[in-house]
Amino acid sequence: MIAEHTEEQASLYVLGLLDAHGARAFEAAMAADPELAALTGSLETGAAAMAWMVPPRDPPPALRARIMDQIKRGDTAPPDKVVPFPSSTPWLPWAIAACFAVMAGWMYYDTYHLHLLLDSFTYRDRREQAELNHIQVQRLDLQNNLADTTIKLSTMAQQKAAAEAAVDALRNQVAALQTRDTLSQLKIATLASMLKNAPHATAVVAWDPTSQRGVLQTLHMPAASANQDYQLWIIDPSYKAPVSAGVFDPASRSSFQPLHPISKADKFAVSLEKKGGSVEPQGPIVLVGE
Amino acid sequence: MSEETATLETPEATLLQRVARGDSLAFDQLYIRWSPMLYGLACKILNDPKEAEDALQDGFVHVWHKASSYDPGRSSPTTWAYMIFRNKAIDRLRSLDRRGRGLERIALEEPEHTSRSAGPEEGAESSERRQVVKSALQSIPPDQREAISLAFFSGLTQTEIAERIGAPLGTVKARIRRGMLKLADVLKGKL
Repeated sequence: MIAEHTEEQASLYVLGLLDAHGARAFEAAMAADPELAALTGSLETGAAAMAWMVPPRDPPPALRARIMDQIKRGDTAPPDKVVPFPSSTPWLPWAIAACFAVMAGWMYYDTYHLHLLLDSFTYRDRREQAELNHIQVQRLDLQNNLADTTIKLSTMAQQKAAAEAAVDALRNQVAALQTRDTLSQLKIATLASMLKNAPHATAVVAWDPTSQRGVLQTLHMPAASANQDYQLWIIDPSYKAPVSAGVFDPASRSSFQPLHPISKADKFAVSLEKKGGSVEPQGPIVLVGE
Repeated sequence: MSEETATLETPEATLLQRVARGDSLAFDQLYIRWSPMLYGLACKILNDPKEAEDALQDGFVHVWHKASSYDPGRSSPTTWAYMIFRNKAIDRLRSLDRRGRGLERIALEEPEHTSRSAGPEEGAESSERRQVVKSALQSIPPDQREAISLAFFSGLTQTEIAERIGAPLGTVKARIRRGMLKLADVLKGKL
């Protein structure tokens, strides 16, 4: 879609109504825009309509020969004029006078064309100077644009850094929320002592059903004998027997992972088993809790 | 068949291609074909047969050297030639004005069809084109036609046209734009 102003410039350009600056700028725009070039071509067709309505007129026959002669000579200078020469000596004085007249005429003609050439060069100089000024203005514009663009790039870089920081903050928030969500799903069980010799023994189990992992922390548990181990069990109604979560050292906090997947951890229990543990509980239950 | 190909098939486009290759015979044929209409145009703009001859000579020398710059996708050969010769004549007119030898500006009337009967050199094709152009010119309002006509033939500046018409410069520009677009639209693919 070509703007109305551009259509107007195109119309004025076709009719030669733009000044040198305007015409040069328009030609540059046209060279970069095929749509504008096509519009200009169609406008030229419209302008030429005016010429179509002018009655044709036959030029002087000699003109054709002059032009053909000029292009065959390969120059663009004004065509030479044919100077008639007298055919007999009795007319020599007249011929000489005629020669002078012709020479005078030719000199006037030549001077006239020199004036035209001078005008043409002066016009060209002015136009080139104007074009140079125009180019300098464009250069300044480009420099200003470059400075603006540099500032914009700097601003954009700052905005990008700020955006990345915001994204990082959001990621941290998401991670915190995920952690909070995980914590909200944790099952915490306190196991009470069944031992008469250690009634204050206790344990706390933190169980994460999502990761199927847990942590066990015991307190006041008597040490097991050398040939025995404490073993943690998880009671899941989907299994007939308690599921082993492994043997542990009561002196330190232990992480555990059950032998089979747990769908619902109803209870946790600790038994005293033979060294290395058992597949199913065989020893006495020492701690239990829901 | 594409529009470009169709244009290239016209004899004038073919002749121009040959001229671009330095074929003086083709150039001579173009001269025979074009010189009456272009000389008529130069006479109308310059209002002086001698100046018109010089403008015609300048224009044909330009054609000889610049035939390769003709773009068949942009306009017809005749339109291309009209614009070259029109610009040559306007340049000459302005140059004469600057030298204080300005010719009396022609009294611009509404362009009208020539009363000259079509001669043998003016074929039926040209006559038909003139009818198409005449219809196109009649399709635009007179004020737009007047502004375009002044701009095309007189060599006046925008401001001078506005003064001549007695209308604000903006109005003149708008008339030229609307009229030119309308002409281009009506004549699309017809010349």
